[in-house]
Amino acid sequence: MNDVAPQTLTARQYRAMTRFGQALVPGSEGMPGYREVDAARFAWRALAPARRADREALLVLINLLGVVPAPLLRCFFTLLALWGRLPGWPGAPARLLDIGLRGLVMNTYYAGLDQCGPAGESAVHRAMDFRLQCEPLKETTHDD
Amino acid sequence: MKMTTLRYDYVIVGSGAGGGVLAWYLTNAGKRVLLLEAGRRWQRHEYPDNELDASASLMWHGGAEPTRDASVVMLRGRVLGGGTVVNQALLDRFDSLALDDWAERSGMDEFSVEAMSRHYDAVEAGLSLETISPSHWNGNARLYAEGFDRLGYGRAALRRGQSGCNVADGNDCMRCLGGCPRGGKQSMAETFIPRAEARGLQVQTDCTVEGVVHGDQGVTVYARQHGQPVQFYGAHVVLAAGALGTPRILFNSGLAPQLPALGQRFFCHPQFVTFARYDTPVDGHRGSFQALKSDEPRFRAAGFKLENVFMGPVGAAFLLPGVGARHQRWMRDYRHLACIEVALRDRTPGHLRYRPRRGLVVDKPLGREERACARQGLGVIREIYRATGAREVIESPVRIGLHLMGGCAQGQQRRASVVNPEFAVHGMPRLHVVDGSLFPSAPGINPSLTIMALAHRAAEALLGCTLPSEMPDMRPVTVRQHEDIPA
Repeated sequence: MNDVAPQTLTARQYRAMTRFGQALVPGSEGMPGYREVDAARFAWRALAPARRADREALLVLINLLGVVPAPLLRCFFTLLALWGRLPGWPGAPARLLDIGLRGLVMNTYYAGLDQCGPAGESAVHRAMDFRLQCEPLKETTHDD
Repeated sequence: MKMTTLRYDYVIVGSGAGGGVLAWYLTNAGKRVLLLEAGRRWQRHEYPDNELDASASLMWHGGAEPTRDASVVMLRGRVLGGGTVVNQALLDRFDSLALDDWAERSGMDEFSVEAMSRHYDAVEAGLSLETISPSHWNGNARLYAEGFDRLGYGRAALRRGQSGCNVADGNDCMRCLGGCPRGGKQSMAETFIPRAEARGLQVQTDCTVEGVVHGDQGVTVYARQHGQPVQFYGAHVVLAAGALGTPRILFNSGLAPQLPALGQRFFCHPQFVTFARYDTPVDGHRGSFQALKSDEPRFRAAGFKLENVFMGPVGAAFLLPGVGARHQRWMRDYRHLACIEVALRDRTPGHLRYRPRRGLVVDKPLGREERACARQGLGVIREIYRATGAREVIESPVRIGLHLMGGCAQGQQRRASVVNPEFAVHGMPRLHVVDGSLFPSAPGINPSLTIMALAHRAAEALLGCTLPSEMPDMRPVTVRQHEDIPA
């Protein structure tokens, strides 16, 4: 694991993101954990294009949730999922939290940017046996 | 402020299916045209090769944009070529059910299968359209077909804008959701825009338009490019920034009081995704992508269709419910997952409002009718999965809206529409709209080809003539297979 906090998140945010991500993606049955692949280092890359207010709010939440024990966090997300089933306004805050927080963790972990596999490939994608192939072309032409 | 003294015949804002096609027809007619795009221009080999960077680089605000109550998550492209770079390249014509409803709502006879066919013919002549043969179906398509056939539901091949995908050599077309590195996907960036540039179209990218001022002699466009304020002048300005972008510009230009229907009747075909896990690998991500569609009159009448979709690991992880070990088991079994979604022809209209500090606010409730329709579609999906031996069925709690439509409806009456039949904003003859925001209602069919056909009709309205049915420079852009490429 990379011990150096990335420049874009503060060290505290980085630690909180790692703890938070690890609670959601603990690593099981051959899949690596969030901490093991150091997926928090990609968080800023995902957050950078977001609206500034959304990004800042998300980082404050992660700082707060980063100190909550993992079992409690998973319970929190179970409750969030139930709460989010309420249609319309009553369920809106839960859905917003779910989209922002879970979305960030899944995006940073499953994008396959870690190079933690034995040959420098993504350990996450390797565990899923996932790969995509698309051979770039040399030439485009018009029909005659 | 950077001042551009050059005055264009047309300034087009937005480079997607509407703006890209229109740029070609106007430029080809000898007009001086400027195309503005908020995103950047990518060479095909530069498109990101992972989902995180694709969302961050090619989508507005980095990807998922929730509606106000977060009942739907929307995605929209921010790249030269707009949504046509990141969509699934599904190019079907609208049927009479969709167009007759538009005719009734708009009071326009131009919306009919017969009247639109000439415009469809014209734009299709510039695109390579393919269907995927059964021998090239991937596992997700084969399960979809098997389920439909066992249960007696109608299905059909989807028509796709693509060329030379070469799946027989092992290419995986799902990659093109983040931009096609082969240039085979028939996006505006590969088809109409390069043609127009060859005829003199000027393109400015990284340029976000903030507002317009309509005058007697022309329209001024106020924008920011690389963070700096800039202005452009056109004898005419065409807003083609999509169903969120175009209303935002009109609201921000202070035109809402003159346009009572602005932001009304917003639709997005809400999509309800359902996965199933099988004992053997499905490999829904490999090979040809999204080959089939439902073609079942009962579904169409009820207001939904079933789509044969799949997505990358980030998309799947986001859509699968929950967190922790159970979620991770599903993701470990990603290759064993199949996916079908219900796409609704939504009837409860949403509406858009503008708050100067917050920007555009999208209210898109899912009404009782939509929820009932979704339940019906989800029931059919469960039947299909059961009939094909699924081990487990997993419904996503997240609703997606990829087809953003309406908000500037076209029609005769100012109180119920924003744009007149000649594509001018009511009361502003030099300001036009040509994109999906024109839709008076949700068609229940992928909108991209019809936006292109409307752009062809708009070109005729703006140029005041009927365009020839064949244009020599409109040959489809096709991709040579490897064996055809000289060494």
